[in-house]
Amino acid sequence: MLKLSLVNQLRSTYKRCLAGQSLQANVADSEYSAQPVYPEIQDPSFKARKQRDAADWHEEIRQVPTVEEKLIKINIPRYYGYKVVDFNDSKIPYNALPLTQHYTRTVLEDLPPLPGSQVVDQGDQPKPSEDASFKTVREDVIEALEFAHDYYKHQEKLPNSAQPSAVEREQILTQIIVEQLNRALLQALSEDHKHLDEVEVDYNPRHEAFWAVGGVDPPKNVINSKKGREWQKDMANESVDRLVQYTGTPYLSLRHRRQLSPWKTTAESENIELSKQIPRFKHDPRTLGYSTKHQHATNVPGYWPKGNEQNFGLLSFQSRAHLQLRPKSYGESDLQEALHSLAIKSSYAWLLAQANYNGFNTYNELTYPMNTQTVITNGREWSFYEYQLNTLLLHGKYQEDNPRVNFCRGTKPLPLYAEISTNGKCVDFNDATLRQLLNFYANVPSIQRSNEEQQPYVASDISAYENPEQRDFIAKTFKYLASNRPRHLELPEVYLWEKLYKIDNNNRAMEAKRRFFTLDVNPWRRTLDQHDKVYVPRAIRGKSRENRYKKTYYP
Amino acid sequence: MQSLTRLMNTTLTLQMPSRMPAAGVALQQLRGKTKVVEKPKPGAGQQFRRIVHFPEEYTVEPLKITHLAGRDPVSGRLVAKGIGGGIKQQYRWVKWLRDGPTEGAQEELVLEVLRDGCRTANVALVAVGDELKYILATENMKAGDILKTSRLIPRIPVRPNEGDAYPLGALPVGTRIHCLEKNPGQMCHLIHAAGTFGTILRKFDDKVVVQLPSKREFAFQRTCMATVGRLSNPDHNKEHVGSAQRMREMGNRPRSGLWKRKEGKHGRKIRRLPPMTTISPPAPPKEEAIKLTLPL
Amino acid sequence: MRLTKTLCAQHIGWHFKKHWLVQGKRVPKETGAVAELLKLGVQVKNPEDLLNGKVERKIVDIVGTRVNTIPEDSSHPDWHSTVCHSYSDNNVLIGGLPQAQVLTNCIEIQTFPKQIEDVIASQQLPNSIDKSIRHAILASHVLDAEQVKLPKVRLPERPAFNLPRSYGISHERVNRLLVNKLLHETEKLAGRSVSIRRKLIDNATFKTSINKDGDLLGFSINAEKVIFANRAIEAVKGKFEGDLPDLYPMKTTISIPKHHIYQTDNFYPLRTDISCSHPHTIFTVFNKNLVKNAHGSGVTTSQLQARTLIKAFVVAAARARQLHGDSVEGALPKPIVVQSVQTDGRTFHFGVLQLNTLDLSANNPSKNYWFHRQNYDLFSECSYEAGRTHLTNYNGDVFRIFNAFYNN
Repeated sequence: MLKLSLVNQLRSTYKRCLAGQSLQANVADSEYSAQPVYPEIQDPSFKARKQRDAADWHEEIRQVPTVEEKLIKINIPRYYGYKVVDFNDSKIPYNALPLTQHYTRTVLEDLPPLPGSQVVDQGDQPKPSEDASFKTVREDVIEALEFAHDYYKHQEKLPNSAQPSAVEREQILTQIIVEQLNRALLQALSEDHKHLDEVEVDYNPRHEAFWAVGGVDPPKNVINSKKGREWQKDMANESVDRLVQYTGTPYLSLRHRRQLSPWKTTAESENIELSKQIPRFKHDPRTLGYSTKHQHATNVPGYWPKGNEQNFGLLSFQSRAHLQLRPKSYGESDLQEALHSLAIKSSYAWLLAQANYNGFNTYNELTYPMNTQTVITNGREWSFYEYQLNTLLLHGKYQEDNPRVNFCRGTKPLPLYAEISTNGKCVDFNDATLRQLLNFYANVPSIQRSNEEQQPYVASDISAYENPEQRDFIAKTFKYLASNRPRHLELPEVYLWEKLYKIDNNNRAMEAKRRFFTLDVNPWRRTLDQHDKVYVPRAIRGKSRENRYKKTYYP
Repeated sequence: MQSLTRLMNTTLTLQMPSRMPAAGVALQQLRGKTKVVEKPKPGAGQQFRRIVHFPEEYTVEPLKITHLAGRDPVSGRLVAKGIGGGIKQQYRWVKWLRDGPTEGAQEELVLEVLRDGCRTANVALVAVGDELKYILATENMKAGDILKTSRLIPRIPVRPNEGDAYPLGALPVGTRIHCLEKNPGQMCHLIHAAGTFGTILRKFDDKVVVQLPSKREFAFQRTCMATVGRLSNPDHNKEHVGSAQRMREMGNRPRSGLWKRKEGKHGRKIRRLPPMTTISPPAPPKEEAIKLTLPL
Repeated sequence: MRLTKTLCAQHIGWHFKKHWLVQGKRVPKETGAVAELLKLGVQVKNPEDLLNGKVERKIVDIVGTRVNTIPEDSSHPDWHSTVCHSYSDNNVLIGGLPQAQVLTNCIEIQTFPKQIEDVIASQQLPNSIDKSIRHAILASHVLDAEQVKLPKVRLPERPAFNLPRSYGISHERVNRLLVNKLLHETEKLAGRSVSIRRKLIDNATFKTSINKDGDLLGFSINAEKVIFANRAIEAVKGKFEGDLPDLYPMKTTISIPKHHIYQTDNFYPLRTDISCSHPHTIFTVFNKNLVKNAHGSGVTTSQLQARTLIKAFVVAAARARQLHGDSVEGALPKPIVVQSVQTDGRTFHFGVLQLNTLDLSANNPSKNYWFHRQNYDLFSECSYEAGRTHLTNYNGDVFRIFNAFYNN
């Protein structure tokens, strides 16, 4: 082919010469310019090539038109799913805060006290109308609290019911309290705060998020593997990316179609000095007690993409029931840190999942900040947090280079009441806590962006695709990935005896080579699209031998 | 009596050296010795197709079954060939006892006619009092029918409706019947298959002669209960299996393909039917044999 | 060629063994020895009992082992000699609505009470409400992100097929979300003035037991959502006449399972001295995979309606017992009205029960009232196919009735 084209070129040149044209002029027109334009000089080193490949892949993800396809695209490299650190809302090990801050690039601050409460402290009378409305809300809330407790206590008297564990008991009671309180507050406030009419309430929604974190020491197997090759020995201890998958179910979450306004300006958010000060936890997360598992990357903020107008989180109520399982010997301050860490990771994950539905992901940076509010409660103790998501780039070199940071500010756990007396009355109701909660409800989401601004990387929607087969394929594949169902094939495994007698020592040379490691197949290299295509029965496709298999539409 | 003989027997074994510890233990299996396994012969009313896990009390809940694939459930050995696999059906426990008052009649309401995967005829869910039960459905039975059951034998035969249960003596000659009691106490022993029926031919003394689906005539006692009508699903014998796979779904394995000339299986000489037979009362139960345990 | 002579000997021991297999089984003849011995006063025992007598095993209490399950026989602490017909959530009355009517002594009136009918006819709903309800339906049926293993699906015409196991939103969650979202919309319309007088709870248990014509009936039900009000619903004005249906030859208790182990206590999920403790409306979920006839058939429309009635009745009866003491019999001082809604996420059945009397005997002249209409379908199909949501034949009447029930 190449040779033939050369011959053709020669022949055309020859013809032109025969025609008496000048060789020089013609060539100059087409191939040469006055100023030489050279291609960019690229670093040919291994590391640079790897980085370029990664950047290309991230660019490809950015170019993918729809949200669903973006998620499929991220999942394509691994058929059996990624090996992820299992971040969830039910397990917070000792000393979890530095790791959480590192993994979410979050600066933790204290929530400034409410202006209203300061006024009360100084003894000034707040506005009478405000006071009256607050009083009604207060009454409603106390009534809801007492009702919830009464109902729960009465329910416990029921004979023959299996005794739930302490964690389950707290979850049941808190679920009742949170639902009652939410209903009372929505009812009481919706007259003054019209935005609450448009709120969508999620009950025990499914919040999941996937992201990559850089700057973590490589695990032992990676070090060993690299040390085994001469040319990689120097890079053996270089940090690697860890993938994180968050899974959580809050008691309740509220969503709205507008965004909350950010409380940190862009200038404040972009501070390379501040980003350097965020604690780093370089050890393997398994050293703290986090476990790993294989699963597909999923980003779910509680609903499916494009289903809703209410795309932005307003408030979520997280559970702290599992903190009961932590030993008392961890101490008070660690419990406080655990609450901070729970707030940070749940808020970050929920915002990331929302951002994902707007076309951003851990490899494609946010173009505008996103905010949410989080409440961690067990019914009595309430901790309030606000979170501002500025950046999603945490992987690879961005761990060092990225000037942006995320912010979280929160309070200590505040008691809403001291106790519920035996006759069902609420004792020592804490107005300050209620005011804080009211403040969260009253926080008006005001930012509305144009579609292009809100979703700069989303070009289309799968429901807009013409081809029904393609729509069906994308929808099914997306649901399959996001359903966390086990893969049809089991994860490949090397048994210990095989490691000893077949891999480390070749003691069974005469054995038939059937297992993947004897066939030189790396099953972990298998990509999502490497599978047998679906056969179309003749009854459907007709007599033709064409289209015997269904087409796939992987992005 | 036998217990005494047993006593003799066991005392004998007791005197033997302690190599043989207790009586009644199955044959000790010794190395190199042929293991003797008793297995039943095919036929004799046992199908070796499934066992049904009956609960202690009667229930209308569909019951779980275990497929036997032609094996004897005791020894586990293959008894019947050509059985195996098939769709797991649920068994509906038919209450065979149709017991009515000796005076007047008990009325029962048909609630639903259902398909039972373990038998060819349909079954009907019947309600009486606060009890639910299944009976075999007749050809034209439908939900809402009222069935009568009585043990009264009037002087003039009754005019029965389909699904009613009466003693043979109470039914007029020519009636089609099914679920026939062979001897008093053996309820609904005969005529269960889809679309079959027996016909009352004549009466003599205290016997009633019935022609069974095999066309043979038998004389039954007049107090034997029978249900009136032809059994449901009459087209069952005209239905084609359709495909080999359907045969597998029904739990039958491929046939051996061997043609047997001498068994007469594939065509038999047509002979005259044997003459009418009087049903004899059921044989007394066989006395249990004692197994002597001398380890020869 | 064989040079030696063939020795035609056989191993005689083998033949003995084969022979013994047959002859080793003997049916002993009756000799009359037992009768003689008994006559002489000698006790005759079966050798089996002597030699292989039962050895009583000693039960050792080991600390830390799991708790022994209490055997379900007469040694059970809750065992009674009288049988109880225990109705629970998953039971179905095989006789359908007529049986439920006889069981609860209710006459059927095929409209709603006048005040509800008036509200349904006259209420003014904003135009945007249909859009919100459509969204609520989609959000609970299709757009929620829960993915759990759904029950197995079998094709009756292809019983050998094993279909791929589908994942999706569980039936319980669909209904929880749908009812919650519909209530949310209703409360938004009603405003604080009404909703402050209502309280909602999930999964409330109600228990009661009643004697009817000598049969003990035990009820233990669960209502997935209950609205309590601070004031009881007013009794329906007017007197209604009607006859109870005839169930002959069935008894009223047919298909209610009979148990010897039961408790007869009364349970109502709230205390009486709470402000919002009057039962207002109960929402129950019908899951066809759990609720089945005893013989395995699906539930008919009449049986489904019977379930709505029974649930309302149990709530009203439990409330009556709580208010007037466990010994209350006969006519109640003030009738108790309970609204009952049953749904499977698509079909809705609305009914109103007025409990006038707790005396359920067949010859009681005063009757309870059961107002209901036929079932309504909220939509005919709601699905997510090929990347697009589908909601066909949405029926706006359902929400109008729902709203009227809430505001009653």
